[in-house]
Amino acid sequence: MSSYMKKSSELEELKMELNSLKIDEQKEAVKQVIAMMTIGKDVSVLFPHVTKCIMSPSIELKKLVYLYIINYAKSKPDLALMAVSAFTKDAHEKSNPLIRALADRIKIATYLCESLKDCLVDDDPYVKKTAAISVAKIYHIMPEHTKEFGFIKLLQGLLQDGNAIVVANAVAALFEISRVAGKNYLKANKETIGKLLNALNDTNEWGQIYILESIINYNPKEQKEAEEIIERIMPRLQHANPAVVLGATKNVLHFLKFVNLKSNKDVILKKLSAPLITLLSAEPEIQYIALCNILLILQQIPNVFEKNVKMFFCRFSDPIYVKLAKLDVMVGVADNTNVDIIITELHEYCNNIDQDFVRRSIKAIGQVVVKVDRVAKKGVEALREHINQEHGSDSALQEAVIVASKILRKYPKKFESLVKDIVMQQERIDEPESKSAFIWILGEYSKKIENAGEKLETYIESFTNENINVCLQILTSSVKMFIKDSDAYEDMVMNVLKLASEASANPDLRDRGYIYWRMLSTDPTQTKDVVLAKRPEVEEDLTKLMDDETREIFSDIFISDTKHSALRPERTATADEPDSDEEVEEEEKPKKSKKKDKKSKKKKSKKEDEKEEIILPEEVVTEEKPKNDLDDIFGLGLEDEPVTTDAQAADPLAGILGDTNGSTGTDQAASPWDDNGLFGGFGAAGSDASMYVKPEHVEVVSSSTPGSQNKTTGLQIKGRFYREGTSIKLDLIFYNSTAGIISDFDIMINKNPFGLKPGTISVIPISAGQTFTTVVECSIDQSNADMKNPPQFPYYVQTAIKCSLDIYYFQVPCLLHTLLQGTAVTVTQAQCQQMANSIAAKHSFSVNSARFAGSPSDLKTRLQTNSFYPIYDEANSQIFATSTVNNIPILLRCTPEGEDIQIIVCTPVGPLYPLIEEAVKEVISK
Amino acid sequence: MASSILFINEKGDILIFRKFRDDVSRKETMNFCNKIVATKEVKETPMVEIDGVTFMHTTVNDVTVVATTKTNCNVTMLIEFLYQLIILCKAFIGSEFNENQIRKNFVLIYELLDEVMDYGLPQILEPDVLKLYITTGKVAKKLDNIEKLKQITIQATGAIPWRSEGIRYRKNEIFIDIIENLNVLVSNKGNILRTDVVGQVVMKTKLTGMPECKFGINDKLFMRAASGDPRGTVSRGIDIDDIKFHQCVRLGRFDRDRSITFVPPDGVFQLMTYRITENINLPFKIMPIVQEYGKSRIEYSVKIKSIFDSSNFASNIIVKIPVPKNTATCKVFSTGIGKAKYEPDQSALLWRIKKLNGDSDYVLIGEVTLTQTKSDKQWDRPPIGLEFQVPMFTASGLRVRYLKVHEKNNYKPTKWIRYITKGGEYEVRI
Repeated sequence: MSSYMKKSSELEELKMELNSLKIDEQKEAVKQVIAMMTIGKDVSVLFPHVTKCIMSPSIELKKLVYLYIINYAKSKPDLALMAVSAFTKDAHEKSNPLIRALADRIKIATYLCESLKDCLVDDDPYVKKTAAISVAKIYHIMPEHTKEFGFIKLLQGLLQDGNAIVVANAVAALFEISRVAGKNYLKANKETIGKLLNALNDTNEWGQIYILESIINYNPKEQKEAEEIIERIMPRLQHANPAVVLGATKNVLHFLKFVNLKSNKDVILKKLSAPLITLLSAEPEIQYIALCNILLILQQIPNVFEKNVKMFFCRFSDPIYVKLAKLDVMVGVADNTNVDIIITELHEYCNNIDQDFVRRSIKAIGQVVVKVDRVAKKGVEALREHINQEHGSDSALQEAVIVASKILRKYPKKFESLVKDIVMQQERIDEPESKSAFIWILGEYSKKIENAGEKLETYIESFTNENINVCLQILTSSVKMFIKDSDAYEDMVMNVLKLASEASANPDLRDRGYIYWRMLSTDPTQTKDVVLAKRPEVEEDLTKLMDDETREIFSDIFISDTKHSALRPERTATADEPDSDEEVEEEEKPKKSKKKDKKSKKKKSKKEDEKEEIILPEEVVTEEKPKNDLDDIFGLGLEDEPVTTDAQAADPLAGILGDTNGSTGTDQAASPWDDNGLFGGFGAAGSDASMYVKPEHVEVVSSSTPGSQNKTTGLQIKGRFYREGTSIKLDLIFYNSTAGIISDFDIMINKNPFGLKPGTISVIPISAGQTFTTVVECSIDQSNADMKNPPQFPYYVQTAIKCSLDIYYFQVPCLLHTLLQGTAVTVTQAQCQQMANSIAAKHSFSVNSARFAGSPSDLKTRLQTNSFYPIYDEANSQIFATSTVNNIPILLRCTPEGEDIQIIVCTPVGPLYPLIEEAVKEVISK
Repeated sequence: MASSILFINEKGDILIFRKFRDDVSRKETMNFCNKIVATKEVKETPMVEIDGVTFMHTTVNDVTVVATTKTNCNVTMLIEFLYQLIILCKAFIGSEFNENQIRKNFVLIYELLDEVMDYGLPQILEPDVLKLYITTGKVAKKLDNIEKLKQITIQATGAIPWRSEGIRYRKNEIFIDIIENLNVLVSNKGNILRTDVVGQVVMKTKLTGMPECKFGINDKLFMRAASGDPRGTVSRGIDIDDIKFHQCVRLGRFDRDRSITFVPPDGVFQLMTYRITENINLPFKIMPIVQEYGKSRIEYSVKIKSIFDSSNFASNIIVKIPVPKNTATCKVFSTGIGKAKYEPDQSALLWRIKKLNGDSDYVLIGEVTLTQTKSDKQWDRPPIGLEFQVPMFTASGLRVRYLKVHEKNNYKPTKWIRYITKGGEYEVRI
């Protein structure tokens, strides 16, 4: 209350001052208004008073008023219009070009463009250059208008202007309009390009950048013309502004495409490297951009920088992002001539204190070794040193193991001694990726390693807790070991196959388990050929982007920012691809078409940076969709051969085979999906997240709700529960309506029937008038469970927020489907029926939903996305099953009846019924 | 191009917020303040993307200056714009660039922002031009004379925006400073991994009228071209890898015959920067022996040798010898010259020498004892750093040959030339 009073009296005071007759007082007042505007306070109520000041003869005051108006012009156009008349008067005041330009800008902001025409043909260049930019602004708001008034024509006319800055701004405006319109308004021909290149010499640095940016789209007709253009652009490489240098480089590279003579080309290329290298002595931000661009250029022209390798050596004082970019470039420039000093230098970095940097250095060593054969020995020695380092950091060791596995693959017989060193360090290998690498080595060198089986067993013991990639690798490696020595590892491989196909809920793992199982049981010799097939060679995976992709980014070179930043994680992602992925390729080798698919998938994953897990099942779905029965899915990879289920008596795998058949039967029932294809559910959960019904935010604490301790008001909280994947999240929005800063947040959830428990809350101090959104990840913890009281309808979660202001208790509504298991439940049809029979008290209701009347499968996906998993169909009903996070089973029978859906629910805990009804209705009707 | 420009303090509060386009909302901008600046993650990369908005930023003292955009725009330009904007603000505020000063001068900065950028496109960032028509701040001038105003706008948009007409000096003078920063990286085995010189030619001109200048240095390529023998039997002159010029220099002319011609701005400006990697004379040699004895003691013996002409001298030498963070005591047994002091906040032993004659050498011998620490981590042995100044010496051998000034008043200016070589990034690994 008090803060509001203060605020309003402050505004009153300002109003008085603004209406003062003294110019100085008015000035001070406007300054204060602008200060308030900066911190985000709404001072629009003062609009009429501020605009009044425009009548003042003082240019300084006029400019201040202008700053104010320009800020509110968009939100309060009608008010701004009032002010415009004063400015229009100014605009006609032929005497003062500065004010004319100001007036011009303000009018644009208020959509007044009649007088813009006058400005575009004004005789003062300052007014003209401002007007040129204004056309782009107007185009943004009303493109039709711009054409109608002929502004674009006028703008194109300005390209012929005698003043270079006017030309440059006209170019910038046209470029901008072309970008928005998706149409080229800068129709460049030989003549205009000549004009622009002339202007290039006379305009300021920014103008040069605009011109350089615009001529890149021009394609010269003949080689001679291209050479002439290059000749005129080359001098720009000597400019002090890095953006001019990079712009020029980009243009030179573009026009070089039209030069065929190799000798001419080489001369020009030679001149490009020095100016770019010079940028590495600039500020770190520019260095970083230069390095990103150098990396891109390397993709197209690999041998421009190889002589400058030392310039890419990291300095101790470089910021980390520069160091990492330099590592990438060093790998990129490595070739036969310079590789020795690069390896020595990279080895040096491995002693750095920054673990991230060390890891990347080790990785870089691996990449260089894979790229240039000659230094393999030197690189491996460096690596070995790191692996054997007793007190070395564990994190670096993980990377060393991953790199070692790649080197072993590239040079299969050469560095086997490395294996022994790695095995010694087994206990320290603890990251999923390095574990996968290690397990791959185990499988590959099982005969060379003592007790390889025992070593693998330690991972098999914890199979169910391992990361999916580790599991896949365990599977592959155990099969490999079995094939090499079937007597020693039969038990082990059986165990793993069982674990993979029965105990795992991951479709990838299960599938691969089945494939191996089926392959081994069908034809062991052929399996051997497939599994131990010669692998495609490992390539240096750092800088190889797909060709078309490079080209696309390349055309944006020096400009792209978002694309650059996208480029970086993408590259690491490819480099980080687990070995298991490569293994998949090996296994599918007999099927050429498959491989192609893989490749296209890889391309896609690179391009769209999507998660592997999502793409993989999708791809499989497209392949498998037409086939509904499980046998065909098992046939994956062996399509050419008849799928026999007969055991061959002589086959040592007879026992296994019997089991396979058995498990096939049970699995069919256990499989929670049917006509959606094996991966339908998974794909839906991953890609169709939009179908998950997220509740709206609800205000749980209003700014007038007093806290429980000090009865303080002023904190507004909105909240909601929702689920993302398997985790339950509490989404909170805080709004601070007090005058002070609120900090030190903490959260608690009262004991509740589901055992919901909040994770840590991270809220930065919220200053006055600010909003902050945070998401608290919740876990299920039996210690926070209230067993005595069943959940009430409607269900609220009692939550408390403690902060520097006070403690607030409130209730956040929570729909039941948020509190269901995030992963599919595995129940058989028989189990369902048994449960349905055992519970007498069922609950039925109907939901009106015309939407799903015709398409039961849509309904199915929808429910599935919201954690009701389809089990089987019965006549025209569908049965869904799920369980709450605290494992209370729930069954659902949905029977469509006209536009309604009749639903019968069945659960052992009665009080859940209204909650289920509420959630299901929400899910279906939202 | 840029949607808005912001100045943010260390806590993530917005000091200055100027919107140029509507596509990035204030709320989206707050994301950056909250997530990046306030959480100190700012060091990640100079470009950060949050929810489709790209933030380009650089930090000076306690202020982060940010440009935002949603389009695929020219990053280099915007980052360079931010640098120049900071320089401009400094010039107008007339002091350090920090939160306090920005709060004091925010109206001035708003006015500047309005002139330097229009619709997100950089316009004019020449301090000398802007000083003519910015109305607030210390350097503000009265803008009443309409004729003068017209002249200003014509100059601002003209081919030579950096210099105004009608400048007069009673005594015409030019001061030329050749400042070379020497970057050296020496491996722990004493091999020189890389050396390069980043030099700058800074001029201070006090010249009347519109003088046309021609500047000559002992650039090998130019001397060959000038001698009319492109193959070059002339062996004098040095190889310059790359030169970057102030915008006043006619680049086309330089590209044609490598002559440096220009009409200079009035006052101090940086005419050019250059980079040289060949035939560099190192003025010093550092020979360190750093021996670790277990986890408790390290012995140092660091020798510095000056290898330039004995008639010359170097001044203000600081040898920065790194010591571990857990240093307990640091004893220096002998230095021979200067003073050595342990500076815990820099984790280094600083050996300061006021003046060192050419062709002489000294050895520092010292010992460091360490306290016990729990961590197993080895000391990462940062490199030894070296700062120095050698006047009348250029590591690259660059010399000014002439500076010709033509002006219609036909005066002969007095010229002053200074050379100095400084230690730049000088790292000797140990």
